[in-house]
Amino acid sequence: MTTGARIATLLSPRRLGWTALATFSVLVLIFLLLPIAVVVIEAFNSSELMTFPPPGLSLRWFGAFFADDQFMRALWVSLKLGVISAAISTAVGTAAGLGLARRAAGSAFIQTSLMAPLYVPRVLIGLSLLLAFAWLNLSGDLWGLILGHVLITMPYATRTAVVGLRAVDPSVEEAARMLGADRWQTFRLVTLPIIRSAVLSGFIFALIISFSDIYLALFISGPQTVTLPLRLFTFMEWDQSPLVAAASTVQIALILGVILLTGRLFGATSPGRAE
Amino acid sequence: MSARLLRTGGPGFLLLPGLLVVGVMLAAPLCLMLALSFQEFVPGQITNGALTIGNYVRLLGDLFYLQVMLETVELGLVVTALALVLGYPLAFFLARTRSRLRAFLTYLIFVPMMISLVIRAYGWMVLLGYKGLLNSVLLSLGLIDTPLRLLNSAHAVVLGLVEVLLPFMVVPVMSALRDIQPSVEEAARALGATPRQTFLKVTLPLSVPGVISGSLMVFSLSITAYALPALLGGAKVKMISAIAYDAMLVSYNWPFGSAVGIAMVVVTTALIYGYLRLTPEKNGHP
Repeated sequence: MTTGARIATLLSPRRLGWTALATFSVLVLIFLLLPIAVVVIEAFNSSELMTFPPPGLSLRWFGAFFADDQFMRALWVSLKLGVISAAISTAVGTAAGLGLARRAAGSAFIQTSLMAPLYVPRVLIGLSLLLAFAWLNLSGDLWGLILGHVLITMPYATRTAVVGLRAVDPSVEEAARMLGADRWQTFRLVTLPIIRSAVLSGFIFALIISFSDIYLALFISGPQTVTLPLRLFTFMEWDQSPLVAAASTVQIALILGVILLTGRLFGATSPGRAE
Repeated sequence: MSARLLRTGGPGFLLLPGLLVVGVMLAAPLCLMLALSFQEFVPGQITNGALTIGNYVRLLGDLFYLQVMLETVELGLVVTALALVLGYPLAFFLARTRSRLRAFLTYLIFVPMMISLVIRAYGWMVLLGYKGLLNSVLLSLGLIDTPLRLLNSAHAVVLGLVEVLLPFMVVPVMSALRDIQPSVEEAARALGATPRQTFLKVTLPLSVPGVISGSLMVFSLSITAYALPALLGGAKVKMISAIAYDAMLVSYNWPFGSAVGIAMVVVTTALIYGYLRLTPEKNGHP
């Protein structure tokens, strides 16, 4: 079909409504992605101040970012926090997923409890943890922040484990048990290899959620535990130079890198969590 | 986890670590917040242990706080309505298109969710800033002579929140639309309904649960937003979270901050309860 004929078909009365809908949908998707796209472009700005479009291109702001002690320390805190809390929450979440999948129906309360961190607004989790940590004299402690991130990332790990376990045929596990394997051996030698990919997805999910969190950091970070998003937040309030864009672009690159390296994508039915 | 415990404990044991995390890190701190909200504030020492309902009386009796709550709800309603207007057509398109790009386009909705909202707030600064994209475009088109001041306004906050929360509307609506059996729509068409009638009388009513659960989620997340309004609204936009934040971290009036927090817990719990009731298993629960 020639381009002209194709356009004629798209604009025919029968298709016109659908064409309008498709166009509108693409515009909404652009609206959704534009703020991220302009940040990446702005990071290569050569000028002193935030301007868009950039008058020239340079890598100076990446240089400035990697030379900034405070940003580097924040990046390190975020990486440490992300990996440790994602590892813990994957272990805890996988165990919970196994427990849920191997239980009879009627555990709705337990399910809702395990998923509750998804539904309680982050700002309230932050506020209440601020009080609790002050009470326990744990304010500003890295382990407090790690436990907080375990709380908010665990539901993702639990859910991916449950989804992965749906693919496990119970008769395979029963066969292993009948052949004399105990529960731990059955899990390690039979179940885990089957759900390995789901467990890894859960870990990546948890890592990304931890890496992008701002609310918990706002309330329970101390001077020694400033995360990259928190550093960006406080920096941005008084300086909106392209340095913020460069730092943001490094964070975006890290997240996309992890996703591409592991080939893990966000599940299509996840509500996720942003604001 | 130890092999012996796993052998003897049974599946119930596996749930314990997760429930412990939720109990210690979520339930207990919220209880502490509830307890503190009924305490009297004493500058310098937080509380003297005396019980009072004064914090709630102050929150609900002061015109300033009522005004903030009213504006927060108003903003939440505007954000929810806009998310619905933008999100429903997109969800409908993604649920019905036969394009090869469908999986890719659906994936694009999840990409922004992986990026910190601090970064996306900066994106809005680049778009709406004094020397930002929008001003550049308007200037070069000759529509304005001097750049507009678009940031630090309620409009900027609404735009940012709609962008950040849009996926929370699109996903439940899309899955509600996908769950509609094609035969139902085909039957309507076979009985002589026009595409328009089929949509209005069959498809739209069947997608209402998705619309309601998406709206409840977006509304609940927008009335509890703090970071985005702080960055894009500046001093102009005061939302209820900011009152709690200031009470906690600026004036150290923790009992009052706790009362504000508990009020938010009550409202969002009601909204989320509705959301969970309306959302099928695969969205809400594992």
